[in-house]
Amino acid sequence: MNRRYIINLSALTAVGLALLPSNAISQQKSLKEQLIGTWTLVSAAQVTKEGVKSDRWGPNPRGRAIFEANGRYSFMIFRTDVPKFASNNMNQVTAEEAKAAIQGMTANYGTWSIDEATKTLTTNIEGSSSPNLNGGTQKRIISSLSADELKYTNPASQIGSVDDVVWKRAK
Amino acid sequence: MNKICVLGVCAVALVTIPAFPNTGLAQGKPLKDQLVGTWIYVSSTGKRDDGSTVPRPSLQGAVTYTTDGRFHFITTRTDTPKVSSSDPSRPTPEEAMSIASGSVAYTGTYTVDEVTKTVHANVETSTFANLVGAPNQRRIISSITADEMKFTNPRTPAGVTLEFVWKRAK
Repeated sequence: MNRRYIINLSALTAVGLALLPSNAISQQKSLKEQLIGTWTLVSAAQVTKEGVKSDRWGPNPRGRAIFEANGRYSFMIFRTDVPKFASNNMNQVTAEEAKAAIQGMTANYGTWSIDEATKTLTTNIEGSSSPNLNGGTQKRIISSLSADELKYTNPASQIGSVDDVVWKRAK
Repeated sequence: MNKICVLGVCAVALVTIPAFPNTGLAQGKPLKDQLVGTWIYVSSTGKRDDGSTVPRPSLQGAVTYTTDGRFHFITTRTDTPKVSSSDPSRPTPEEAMSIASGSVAYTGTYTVDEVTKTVHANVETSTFANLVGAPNQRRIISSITADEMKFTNPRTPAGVTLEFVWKRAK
């Protein structure tokens, strides 16, 4: 090829790239990049093996999740219908009060990663309100992720049911 | 700053200005900026009003402060026995007692008072429902560096003073 041809080809390529609409590039953002930030729980529906659907965390759950750029996360979901303890002293909580509180929430923290190909979010749990989860991993399949909304399913939850969870990005 | 030049290669020797003595708080970045991020639990001590120490369980945990003024706090016991049921979300009352005592998770918003080195926390949701909306939730920062932070909760709902040591998460 002669030099003039190469220069023209380069010039054409440069012009072509400059004309690409900028949103075409932003649509290339990875799931990982999009997940980073803070999220508020919208809903968590659970469908049991027998097909029974319910709100996993009651009618108005409160949940917050933080996914940090350095690969750490902190996540908690609470029912809002758990009564206060009769005593302000945690050591005087009754067994029934404790059971209601513990069954009414989940909280864990650790590190997270995403397999972009399978859209799988994996959390490596360092500490959890459920001792059975300490040191374990959980996987969730991201069904959609946009600027404002995150949806995932937890197909292999601890009790064999499927959870469909929706979060909105916290402003 | 002193400049030292050897063979044409110059280096700047930084003169360090001593930090405020006795406070362990370095000059420079506002406390608010130093606090942002995740801190991993190292240890804690508890004291009652009469000066007696309160035994602390063996804990693991993390506290995260975001730039938009939210925080997450989770500590759990390291020695809590697993739930025996095939459904771990259904502990027995006794198992729940074991989990609930010494473990706590809560989240809400926070502000920092740079002058008093105090984090003011508004707890919105918690395992310990009595903490939600509890007034005057303060954490007084006694020291903070790039790697370590110590703060004191001057009064828990049970009337105990708790001091926490944290290391910055990498």
